[in-house]
Amino acid sequence: MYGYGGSILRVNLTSGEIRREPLPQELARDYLGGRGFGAFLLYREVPRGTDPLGPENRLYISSGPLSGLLVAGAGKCDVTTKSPLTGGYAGASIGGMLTAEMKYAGIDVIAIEGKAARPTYLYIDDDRVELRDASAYWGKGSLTTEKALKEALGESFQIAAIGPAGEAGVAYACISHDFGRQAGRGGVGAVMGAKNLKAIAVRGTRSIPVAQLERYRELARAMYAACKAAPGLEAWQKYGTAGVTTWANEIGAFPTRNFRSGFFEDHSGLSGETMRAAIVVTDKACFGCPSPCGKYSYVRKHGVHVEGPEYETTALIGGNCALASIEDVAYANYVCDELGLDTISAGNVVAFAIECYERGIIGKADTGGLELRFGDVDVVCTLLRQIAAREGLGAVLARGVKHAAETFGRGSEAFAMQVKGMEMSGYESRHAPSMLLSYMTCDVGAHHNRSWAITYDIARGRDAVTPDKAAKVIELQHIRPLFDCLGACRLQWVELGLDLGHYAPIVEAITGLPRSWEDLLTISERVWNLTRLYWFREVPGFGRAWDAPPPRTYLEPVETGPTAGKRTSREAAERLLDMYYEQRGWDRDGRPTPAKLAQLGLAGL
Amino acid sequence: MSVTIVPVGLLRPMLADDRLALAEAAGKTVAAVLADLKIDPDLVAMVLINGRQASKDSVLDDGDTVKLIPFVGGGRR
Amino acid sequence: MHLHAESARCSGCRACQLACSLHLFGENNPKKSALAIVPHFPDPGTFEVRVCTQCGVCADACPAGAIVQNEQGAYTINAEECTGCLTCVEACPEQVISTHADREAPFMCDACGDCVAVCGMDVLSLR
Repeated sequence: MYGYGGSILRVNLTSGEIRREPLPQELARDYLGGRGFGAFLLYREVPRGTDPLGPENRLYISSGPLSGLLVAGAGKCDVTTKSPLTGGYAGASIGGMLTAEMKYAGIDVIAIEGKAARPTYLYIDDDRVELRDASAYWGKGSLTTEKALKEALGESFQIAAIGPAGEAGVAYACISHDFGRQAGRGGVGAVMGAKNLKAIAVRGTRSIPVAQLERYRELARAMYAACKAAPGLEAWQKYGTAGVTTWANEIGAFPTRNFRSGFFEDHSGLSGETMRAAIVVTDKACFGCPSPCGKYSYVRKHGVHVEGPEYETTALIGGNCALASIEDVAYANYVCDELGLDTISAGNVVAFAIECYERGIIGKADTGGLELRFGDVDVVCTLLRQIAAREGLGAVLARGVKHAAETFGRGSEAFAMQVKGMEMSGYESRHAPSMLLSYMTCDVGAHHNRSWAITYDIARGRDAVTPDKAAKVIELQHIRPLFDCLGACRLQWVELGLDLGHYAPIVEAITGLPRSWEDLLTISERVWNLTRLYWFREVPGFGRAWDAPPPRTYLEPVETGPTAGKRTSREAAERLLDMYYEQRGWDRDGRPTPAKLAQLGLAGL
Repeated sequence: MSVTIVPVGLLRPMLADDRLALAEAAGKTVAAVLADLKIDPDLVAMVLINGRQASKDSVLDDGDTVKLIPFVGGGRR
Repeated sequence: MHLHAESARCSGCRACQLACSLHLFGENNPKKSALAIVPHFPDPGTFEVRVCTQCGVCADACPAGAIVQNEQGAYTINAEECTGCLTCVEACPEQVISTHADREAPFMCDACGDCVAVCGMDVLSLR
């Protein structure tokens, strides 16, 4: 099969059985790769009601047809499973080198089931696949583990590892790779930990065949040339996503003190330029990327190296916890990376805990004498360590902000910033209805990556609550996750303005299968409806109520900054949802209709 | 001497030139200059002054080159 | 004419290596490329790039006389003459003559410049 690795690697950790199956052509045709494979296999193979941390849950790590090829941004890998954080669908994206290396080993999907009797790591060296003892690494940080495995096996191996948080089953534990990339959201690291799987080590030395070699090479050259000619390239290479921090404050969308405000008075200490001058060592790329967003840094103040902080971490651990120093944010980022914690969820949960303490909802008896306050990196890092160890207050916080609010009660549910049980990411959206709708309807919970629509609110008018805003969210929810199916990054399009017209032709030249951009978007819409069906199947009572915005967004106006006084009424949010469902071909409860499912080839599910 | 404004991408059609020399801009903030040029500041994702990221509150000096970078793809249109 | 590399700017993306294997063999396989990208992580967190400088040491070292300059003046290994002794691999001061299980003879850079075209960070130049 042109463009693909050619196989699904099945790993049963309980029995130790390992086998390779040929990648079914219909799967590639109808689901493309990456997130498409993950969603299909999850729906088909993991029985309804499976415990996310039980042996029957499966972890699918999937590359896409563009991964590892000469395509600008060919370095993305999907990780799909049933989420221990939300009980619904989890699909996380990880960059670096893993997806390419899998393809060179002839693998499209690593499908892991069962539970090992002892700490284990999966070793893949082309055709040689083994389950190896990982007891020497269990308990160690993910960065420490990666370094140790590279020393043991060789630099040519790509390593994905969990840290102590994943081992302990923290609901938002992540999988780490390439000294600074993560499959962050939804607790995918906890699923690995529950299986006693500490790490995956991959090396592949084969070539990936393509269907039309010369056409592919010509299209690839054009793509790289276009990226190199992009007017915004230099700024993007220099600052990466950290360049967003200043703008987010200028438009009042920067989460501050548990989303009480969209503006952080000390944001200049967190800006991209401040960061570059203070700590950045190397502009680090994922596979094949000409526009590296990774900012590998050395934090002299704390003596650590970290890739980052990326915008989201600066938002959720910086502004949201009111840390004014980029060095402090970078240090907390490092702590999360070693522990294997999603910085977005962790920053959100920590800020929530601090607000609860400020309001007297929890006190020193709950914190073991620690005084919680905003603006204190020691408080943040103490809580991060407690969360990873599930000790003290960390025992409650480790299960996520929704659970913490249910546990603390006393009205704290009103300011738990989550949707579907996933902590909200880095855009304060009370004056950005498209972005709020994006958070409400994202298929993993309150994450921004499916539909980063906030610029549409800015361009269209922030007050408008109109059908075109729902249309924009839907459009983005098809385009953006398509990249997760292709196994490539979307930021060359988003940040450099690379023409989307580059993609369908190169997919065709690689796979040999003629498909238009619209064909590819149809696959993406299919996957979107499939993950929606998965939520309906797995979560009792799932429906419209689960798309509800966090109460703070309609109960309280933004406290300070350019959006001070703004909120989006519950009524407006409901109107947005109605328009969204109607345009999606879903019923009023947000369930895909039989007609819509038939149109997408999903009838009978 | 003056301040040079360099609009990028979608901002380019909003100005008369690839590089616009403003004689009276020194001492003004970037925000004030954007207002003078009738450019919606929210559309400017990043401001670079002499190659370094600045903010819309930054005060301009004589001889500064100011690059205005918009959001390009990903929902802007 | 040969490659030059500014390692300090390298992001480790490996597009160069992929462009190289496509040029040399028509294959997508960074492990079949003629330039080296060496990561130094987690500390200091930089990439080292090594490229062929067309120094000719390999040609001098080859006992079979299998390394000659082509029409463009670039050194190249004649696979038919090669005995597989790998002396060139050891002799290369930049360690950028490579072998791969699929190939009988080692392979090296022919200064084609395809890597330069895909490097987004202006690390590579040909002069």
